[in-house]
Amino acid sequence: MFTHIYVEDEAKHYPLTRCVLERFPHAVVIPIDRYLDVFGRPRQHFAAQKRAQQLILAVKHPPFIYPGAPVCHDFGHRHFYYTSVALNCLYNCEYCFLQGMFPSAHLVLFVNVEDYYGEAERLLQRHPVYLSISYESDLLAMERIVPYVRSWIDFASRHPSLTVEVRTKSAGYQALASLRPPDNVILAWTLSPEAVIRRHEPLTPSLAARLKSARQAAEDGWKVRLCFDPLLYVPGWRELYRRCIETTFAAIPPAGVHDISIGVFRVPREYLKTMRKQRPDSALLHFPYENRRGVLSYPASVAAEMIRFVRELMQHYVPAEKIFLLDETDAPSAGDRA
Amino acid sequence: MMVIYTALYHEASPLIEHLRLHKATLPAPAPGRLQWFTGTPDPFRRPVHLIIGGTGPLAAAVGTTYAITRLLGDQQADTGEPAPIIFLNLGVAGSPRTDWPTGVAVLCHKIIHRDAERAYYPDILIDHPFREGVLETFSHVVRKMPAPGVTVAGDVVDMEGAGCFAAAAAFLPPHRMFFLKIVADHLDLSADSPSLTDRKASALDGEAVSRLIAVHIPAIVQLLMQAEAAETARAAPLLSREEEGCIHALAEQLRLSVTMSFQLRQLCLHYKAGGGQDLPERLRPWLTYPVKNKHERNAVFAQIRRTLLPD
Repeated sequence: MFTHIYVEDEAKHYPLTRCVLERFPHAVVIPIDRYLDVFGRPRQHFAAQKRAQQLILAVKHPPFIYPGAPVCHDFGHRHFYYTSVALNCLYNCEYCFLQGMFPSAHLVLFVNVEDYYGEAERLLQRHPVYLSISYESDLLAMERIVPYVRSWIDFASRHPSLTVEVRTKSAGYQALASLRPPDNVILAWTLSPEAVIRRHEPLTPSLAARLKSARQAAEDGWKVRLCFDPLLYVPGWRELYRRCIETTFAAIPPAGVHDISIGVFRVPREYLKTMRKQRPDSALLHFPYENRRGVLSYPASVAAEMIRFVRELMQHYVPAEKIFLLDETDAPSAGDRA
Repeated sequence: MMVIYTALYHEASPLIEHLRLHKATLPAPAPGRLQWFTGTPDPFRRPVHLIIGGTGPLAAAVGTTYAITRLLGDQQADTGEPAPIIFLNLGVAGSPRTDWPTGVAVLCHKIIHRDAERAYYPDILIDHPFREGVLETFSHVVRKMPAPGVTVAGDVVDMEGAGCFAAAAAFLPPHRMFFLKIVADHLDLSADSPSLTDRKASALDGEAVSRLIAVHIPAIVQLLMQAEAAETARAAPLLSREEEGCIHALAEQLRLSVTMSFQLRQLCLHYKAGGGQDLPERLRPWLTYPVKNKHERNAVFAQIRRTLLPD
């Protein structure tokens, strides 16, 4: 999988580093001083690197936890934060904002998770915390490489005033199936129509596989969130999303769904500029988006129609209070992060 | 296209012969005693340019910069589609590793510039048949193993790699730079018996250097072909020069504002990326359309938008 693994000098003695290196015994290990020496090189080609993604093991320095942006949805939580134990992801979604945000497609794993927990504990002494841990990656998708999610769940189960959201497109629930589901962990699946998955979300599991995972999690007692975000304005979108929603609730009983989020594709202007350079052949990225306060998204009328259409379909299955809408007029692309 | 940098003629001669490159006449001012060989040999779709620029990191940086800037300048003047540049620094090197025999080819994934105390990292994203290792570049000839307490960090040592990297990295992404070194000695010769890196500097025993390189020519050609194929497979610019010209002409004809011109180009990109192969035909009806005022211009622009962006 990874032919080359860059290891920061500071990271080489961490147990997680040894754990990851043991999983890839044939990889070429390259010692580096700081992860940015590799990750931050100028003129890297994100798309080329995605075809042969390499791994960087590093030690994160403070800050470890960031306040959630006011324009991102907090699902009703007052103290909303996010954290990133990994940068980048194994998938290769055409619309992913990470390709506009990071200079490299190589996967960075921070091995000093205990430092993250220390900062979380300091925050928890002040107030309850809602923490999204899969913000700039898809942690569940790489749980077999490094068991970050299990570790965070273990931490959350010892800290009841912490609520953790794990957003994913993976079908990797089995990696967590042996755990007792804590009440303060939400497993959130991003769902898209199968045609959208095949065309715009390369390397991700099918809709059926994601739903199977989500259903199993719900049956085992986990809080399951479904994210129809980002909605994409693709040819035949009404029919595609109608069928996707029908398929979803045929697979998962509505009573087993904790809540739902809906949002259209949106991305900061500067990110899209880079994303278009990285994918010059992408019709999706070259759509003539409208700029609203530095965030590019579909024209307001299109966005409103998509949200209305999907929300109305959704209300056939779940009560309105379980449906959270992301304000597409000003939120950066929070929904496309997994 | 390929840009290959070697320090000395004897490192280059096996490639010159194999690829049947011919010597190019350089327009003045050409740096120092730099030699340039070029050709478009059979296995490659694009030209190969081989530069012989002399020993030392500074000469390597000068030669690399000269070659790449000149080729990029030619590309800008050319009307054809620009070709990505793939860079290779090829040469012999010493190695402190006694488990790596003379003649082993090492593709370098890390380059340490000894004097600058900096490290560079080429991206190796394609499969290859070579051993991988760390290259350490010195500004002076490495006659023998350093004194006790002084360590050589590299698996191989040379006098050019870091200079080439620092220069090429100003223009190229790290996955289009390759550094291939053939082990020529083990830094274990006495002071009065110079190592091959000495020989490089004095151009002695050139035939031995050429023989070491020549063994690896098929694998080197394969590496370059793979790198070229990977670039070709990557998306070319979406709009052809004809289509770009058509969009520009239309923006002029309709007297579009800067913002509208940008939106028009974006609409065209979206249309083409979505599979539309008839962009010039779609735009042509408006190329001669007379526009008298902003109101008419806006109405025409809305029509074009509907044509290229159906619901």
